[in-house]
Formats: sequence, C-alpha cells, structure tokens
Amino acid sequence: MKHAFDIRYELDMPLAVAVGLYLDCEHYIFLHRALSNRIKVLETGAAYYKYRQSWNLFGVAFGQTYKCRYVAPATFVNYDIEPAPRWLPSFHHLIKIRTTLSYSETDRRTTLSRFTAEIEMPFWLAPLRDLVCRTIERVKILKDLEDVAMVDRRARLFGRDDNSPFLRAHQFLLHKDEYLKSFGPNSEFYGDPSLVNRKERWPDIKELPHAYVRDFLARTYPRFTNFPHRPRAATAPAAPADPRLASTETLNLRP
Amino acid sequence: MQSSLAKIPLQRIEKDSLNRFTVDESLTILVFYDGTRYEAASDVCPHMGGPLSQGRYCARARTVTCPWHGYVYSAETMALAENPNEEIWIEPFAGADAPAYRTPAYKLRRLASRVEAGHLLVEG
Repeated sequence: MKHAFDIRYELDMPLAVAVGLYLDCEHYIFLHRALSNRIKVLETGAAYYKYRQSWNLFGVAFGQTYKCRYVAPATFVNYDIEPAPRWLPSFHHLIKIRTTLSYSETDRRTTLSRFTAEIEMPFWLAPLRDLVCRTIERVKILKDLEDVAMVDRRARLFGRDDNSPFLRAHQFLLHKDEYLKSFGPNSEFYGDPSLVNRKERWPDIKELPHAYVRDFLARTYPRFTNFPHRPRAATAPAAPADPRLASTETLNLRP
Repeated sequence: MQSSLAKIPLQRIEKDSLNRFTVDESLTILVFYDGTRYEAASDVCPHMGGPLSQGRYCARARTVTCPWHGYVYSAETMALAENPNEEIWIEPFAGADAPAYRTPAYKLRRLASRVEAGHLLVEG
C-alpha cells in the first residue's frame, strides 16, 4: 500500500539562509539533540551522503541509515532509509519512507517549504497510517521550529539576510561548492530573477494550529533564543541589533 | 569610555558554575568564578550567535559548550578549545584531496569587570 502526503508552510527567512541551515550539518545533533543526538557519516558520493542517525520517537531511540541527495539550489531527497542495526526489530522493516524537501523563495524574501513523504506499508498496517503520517509531520515541524528559533536570534543579532557563517572557509557545510555557486558572492540563484518570483502565501510555521507548536513557542523557543516569542500581529517593529551583543574578536576567517 | 552594564552582588555568583545574569531582553552576561578571580563575558557565541547562557558548563575542565553547534570554549582564556564536529564531519573526508582545514580561532567577548563594595561591576 502506497501513500504520499505533503506538509507545506512558510519560513520567515530568505532562501539562502534556509538552504544554508539545512546543509549546516554541525548543528544536527546539538541544536536538535532532543530529536536526534547521534550521527555518523558512512560514505559520500558525488551528490549524496550516507549517514547512520538515531531519532528519538515515543521515548525510544530508533537508529537508521539513509542517503541524502542535494539537488541545487534548494531540493533535498532522503531515500534508502533502513534500520540500524539491521537485525534490530524496527518499524523500518515494515514501512518504507522516502522524502523530498523543496524550498522556494517568495517576492517577500520568505521561504516556502514543501515536504513530501512517500510511504509504502503492508495493507494490514493501514489503521496506523495516520499515526505514522502525524509522527513524521510532528518531527519535521518541531525540527524546523528549532531552526526558526536559531534564525530569529541570528536575525536580531546580525540581520535577517546574513548567511555569511555558511560562506566562511573553516565552516564545514554539506555540498559547500554547490551552495557557494547558488548563494555565494557571485550567486547563480539570485542572478536569475525568474527563480525568485513566487507570490504565494502559505501559513507561517509558527501559526500552525497544532498544540505542540504553541507549546514549543511558549516553553522551548525562549531557551533557544533568550527572548520570548511574540506573535507577529502584536509586535512593534523589531529593535535594531544591539552592538553590545556581537563578538568580533580574533576571528580566523582566512582560508 | 566604557558604560556600566551590570552590578551583580558577589553572593549571587557561584564558584565553578555557569552564572547567567540577564540585563535586559537583549543582553545576558556570563560570569565565571574559580574561587580567586571573576571573569565576565557576553553570552553570544562568536561562531553563529548561539546563547551560551543556555549551554553546558564543565566545572572540571572550566569550559562552556554552545547549545547550537557544540563548540567548546575555555572560561579561562575565552578561546575556542574544541570543535567536536571535526571528528564527525572533517575526519571522514580527510585525505590527499581534501581541502585544508584549520580550527577557527574564535574567542568569547570578554567584558571588563571589577569588584567594588561587595558587587561585581561589569562594563561593556
């Protein structure tokens, strides 16, 4: 039995920041440690990486290996998802999942996120199909909310469009050469206006109606940012970045 | 001329602990005390701006770890002591063709401070 579903929402950040965040592997098991606290690179190919990663679901750690392929400028495909270790009983033996994440930028310099999950499962597990879909959705949204909190703090400190950390010589970024071609100083992406002209408006991720979204914004968001979340309608224009906050001492940025 | 940021009672500062003091919504100060000396720093991680005040402190090694990317800073020298991602992401691909990598020389922003009349005065 095959089933596919979409998760769509808008992220209040430019596309260069959204893609850089996804490829910024250094934060995977630190910022997202509540969801995943173990990762190892197994192999790499021309356009993919293969990992072994543990995800925390229902209070249990599930290990899996998978491949992630980056299609520049803003598409990511996760496939060949298998349990790790293979002998361990796991839902992966029964349910096959393949995901595609596509970003695109609006004319308001926000990012539209479209996540498509394709699931293959035996027919007798059909009653659990909705639970599987909701679990995937919940993990995806919570992970993105953690990223949004990081971006919000960085926007307050360094400005909304700042993707300079991803361009630094020392910064390890997955598929860095492709990222630099798309979003670096001589950006191929921003050099083509036809790729940045979507007038669509999707629900902002922070305005999704799920209780766990409201809970995250109330409890966890302040820990990630050191300031409380305020709904957009209730806020005055954001305060300018405080020069007391930025640290610029002895940055070794030379390649 | 440096402006005064905070006046912290010394009895609120714990030895060998990550002392966090929120001045206002946009500024949190870290204070380290080893029993003889006080050190104050901005809680903004110089790597990407993470809130070090929400990180982990190791009293034995006297280091603070950024919760965003795991970068470890020395509370004594304020310098980056370790990037655990080097083992996860750099080593698997190290080889003859791999681009040269050097650990960055990030440093926390140290804030001037002095003890006066039972308080730690922190200046920006």
